[in-house]
Amino acid sequence: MPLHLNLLHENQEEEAQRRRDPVKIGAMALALIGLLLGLFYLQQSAALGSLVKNQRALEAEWKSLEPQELEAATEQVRLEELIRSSKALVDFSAERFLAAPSLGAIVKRVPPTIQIRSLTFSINPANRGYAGSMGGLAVAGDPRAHADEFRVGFTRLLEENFHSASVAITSLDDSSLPVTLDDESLSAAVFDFSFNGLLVEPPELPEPIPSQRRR
Amino acid sequence: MSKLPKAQIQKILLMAIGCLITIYAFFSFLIAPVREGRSQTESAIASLDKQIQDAKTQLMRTKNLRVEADAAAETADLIREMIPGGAPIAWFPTRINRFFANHGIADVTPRLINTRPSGIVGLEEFALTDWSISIPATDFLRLGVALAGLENEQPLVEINAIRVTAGNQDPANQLIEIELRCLVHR
Repeated sequence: MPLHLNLLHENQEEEAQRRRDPVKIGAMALALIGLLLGLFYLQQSAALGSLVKNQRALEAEWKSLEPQELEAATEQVRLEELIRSSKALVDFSAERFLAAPSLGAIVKRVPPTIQIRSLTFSINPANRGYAGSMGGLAVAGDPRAHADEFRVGFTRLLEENFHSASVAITSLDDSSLPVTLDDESLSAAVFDFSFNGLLVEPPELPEPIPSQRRR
Repeated sequence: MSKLPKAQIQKILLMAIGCLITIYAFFSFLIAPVREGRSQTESAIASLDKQIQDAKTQLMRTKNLRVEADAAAETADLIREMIPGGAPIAWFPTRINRFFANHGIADVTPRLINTRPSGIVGLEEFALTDWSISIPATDFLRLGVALAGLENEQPLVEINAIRVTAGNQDPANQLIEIELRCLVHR
């Protein structure tokens, strides 16, 4: 076996030791960590910069919108007041009681054998109720029964036109006056009715809250 | 592994300590403020976003209201224009007399009973006037036609009461008393 002499052994050993120098390796590791941290910082700063840019854009948008919003809020109050007032005015006109159709309906339902001599009709705007009285003359073979038939028909008429109705006979007397209708002599009765009811359905009252049972 | 000389071990320890201090300082003095700034900016952006959305909603709501108000005001303006300016006692009786005269009913006497605030929500700018109208003689059918015309032409007039009394001598001609209320400017 030939003998090899490495005369550079010491130099090579020194070189290897220098390469394995832990201080140098540590310094390189530190530099790498520093680089990574620097990159991390740059990334974080860039993200913040992007957010700040976005914030500035939004601030500029808000700056232009804010006066418009204040103006719109003021205008909204004015418009709501205008709508409320207009609606109330239209409602007043649309929901008022119309007397003429009711009078027309009464006229249509009065037969020739009934003569209306007085009629009062009034409404109460507060509760939309109505009340009145009617007086007249019924002419028939049995005038009292005929007056009552007319009362029933008049009640039905009020019920058809309004929410509720109640008609009562306040007086019903035989008339001594001779009445001739179509050349026929008939007996007559003088009647007076009173009536009342509600024009429209009353608003529903809120249900009472059930009280808790005491133990 | 050869044993490290004491000087190198000291250097390594110093470097490790320096590294830890650097990392701590990095996160404390560089990253923490950035993160805090980011958190503040994000919260400011969220707040601004909400404000902007609210403002846009407000603008849209007002725009829709403007359309609604225009439509509502058109009808209301037409009704308002039907009320003449000035005291109702100056124009209402004339208007009523002329109206009934046009329907062939003469000698109508309107009387002002009362003027009061409307008491209706939304109609605070108006007042209600109560009137009594007396018609000495007319027939019922003519009255019905006239009242239908009055209610059609005067949307702010509401008839509250009617009293019809037939005369004993001439049942065809009846005495009429009408009570009505009319909405007027205050």
